[in-house]
Amino acid sequence: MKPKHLLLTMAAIGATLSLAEVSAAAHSYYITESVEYQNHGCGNANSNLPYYLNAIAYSLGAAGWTGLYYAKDGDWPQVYVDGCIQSDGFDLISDTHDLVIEAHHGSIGSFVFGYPSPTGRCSVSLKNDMRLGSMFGATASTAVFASCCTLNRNHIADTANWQWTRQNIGFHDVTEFDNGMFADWFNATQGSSNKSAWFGHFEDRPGWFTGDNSPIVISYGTSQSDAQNTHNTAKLKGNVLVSPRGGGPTCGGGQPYFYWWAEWIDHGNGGC
Amino acid sequence: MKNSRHARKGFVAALIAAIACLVLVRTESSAQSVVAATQTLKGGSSVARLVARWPKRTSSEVVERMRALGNILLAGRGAVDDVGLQAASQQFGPDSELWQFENRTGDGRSTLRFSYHVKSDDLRLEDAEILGEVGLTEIDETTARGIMRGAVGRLVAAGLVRVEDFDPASASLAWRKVTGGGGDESAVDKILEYRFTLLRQINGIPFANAGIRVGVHRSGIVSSLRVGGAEISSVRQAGVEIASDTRGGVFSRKVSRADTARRFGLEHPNTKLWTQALMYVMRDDVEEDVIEPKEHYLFSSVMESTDGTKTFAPAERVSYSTTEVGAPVIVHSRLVSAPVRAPDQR
Repeated sequence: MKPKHLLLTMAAIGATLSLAEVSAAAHSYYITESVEYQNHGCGNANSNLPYYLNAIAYSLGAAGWTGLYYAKDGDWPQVYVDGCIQSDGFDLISDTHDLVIEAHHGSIGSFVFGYPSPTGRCSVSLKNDMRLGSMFGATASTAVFASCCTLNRNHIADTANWQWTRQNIGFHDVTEFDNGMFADWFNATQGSSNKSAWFGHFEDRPGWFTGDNSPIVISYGTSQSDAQNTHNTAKLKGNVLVSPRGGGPTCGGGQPYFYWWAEWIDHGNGGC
Repeated sequence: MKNSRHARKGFVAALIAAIACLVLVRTESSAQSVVAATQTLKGGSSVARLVARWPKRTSSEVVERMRALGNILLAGRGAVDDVGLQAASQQFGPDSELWQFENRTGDGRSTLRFSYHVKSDDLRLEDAEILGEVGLTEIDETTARGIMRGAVGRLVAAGLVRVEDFDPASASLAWRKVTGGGGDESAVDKILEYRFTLLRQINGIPFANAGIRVGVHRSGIVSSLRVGGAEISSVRQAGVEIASDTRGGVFSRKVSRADTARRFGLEHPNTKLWTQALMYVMRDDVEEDVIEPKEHYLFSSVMESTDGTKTFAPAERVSYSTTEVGAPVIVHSRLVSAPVRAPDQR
């Protein structure tokens, strides 16, 4: 790791920890997104997309949440990687927040960044690299994977289920957004469950009836009914089940037995 | 007898042409308009250009539509709580961008989740209790389609949609599914809800910005409904929909689908095409738009990462003209409907 990256990483950890100490009762978020994939070291794509997550960062702040929102070359792959399972991992930056949201180019069970880490990492695998809610950090209760195909239903057991969050939220196949959708979703979770609001806001872009997205929500618990209860009641803005899930695998320990419940709207675009 | 039928068909065609000539002010020429109007407008060699706009409704209109939609969904299983509807009207009103609330039926057996997107006149409703019920017997698709048709009929009868705007036979089908289990055990998918989408039809061509969605629960109960979208200024003559606004008209199709596909391929290499269709589509950032059928592409840029994995960018939408060769592509912009925050600096 370059000295500058190391210093910045240490500073970020310090800021994160002090933030958590100061506002123990408040909730916090960690949000990153990449839209710049033009030969920065992680490949080249000819897309010209806007940033999508800045509006939800604003809305979270307006609701009293604290946190970090990074984009461009501030969006680092290594901070999604658990240092317990990969030597280049530094998820003490991301997995010390209740809500983690990423938006990148995606594929089944992984997502890719625009800029590489100091060790040359460009992608993160949910199975091989990520352990949100457990091991190092062990705080994230809700993860939003706003990348194409990352939470493809056919691969839940081998991707999403490696996280120890209360809910993993994302897309079975294609993603199509506008900026306001994420903020509208968060604001709707004051009264609606995360799940209902996700399906309500992400099946179509506002003003469209074509039904192109296939949103998916996967919830977890100590029994099937507990998983379904989380599914139907967790509310981010309403402050229901936002705390860490707890009881997850420790560094070096195996994954305790758990139950999961998934619901998705399948528009059949497939092709991941 | 046969000659008589031909004579009647000829008369109807001539009548359509005559009416079209009266209505269409801005056409390429009167001779062309006669030719265009006598040809089928349903995806043929001519296309209708019309004016679409987002309707503005008063709070009382919205409440009336909610009540009607709620009672169609409930179908006698209870009644919408009027006091709750009026309270929502007071809480949100016409200045809100989004109405969103729950309404408990008088008997307490159903919780209705209403949402109304004001800008796009998009009214949605679902029954929370029904959608939480995963254990009942699953009906088949044919049965679900029949239930959908019945629901569409009730929407028409209630005046929420017009029968001539929709074709239940062209409804597309999606599914709300559930599954779950313990640990890494394999789990079986269940269909929780059949979701039928009926886009507003204009001479057989779908309009992306208005429609109906009917959700039929696995038990056979209608579990969700959605109606709304943009309105079209038009008149119908002998089954053909043409503009009632002087900005509309009928134009010859000059760009083939194959030519558009070639252009798309050149302008967007290395992409994954999710869907492609001939559709009417409004631009995102306007209150009113002159629309005509365009070849519409939903696609993602594909990037091969350094480890060989192909990844997909969030999807983009573009539309190509069918009436003007080389016309600029329309990129459907991403709305920014909320305040934004600049990224933090490392």
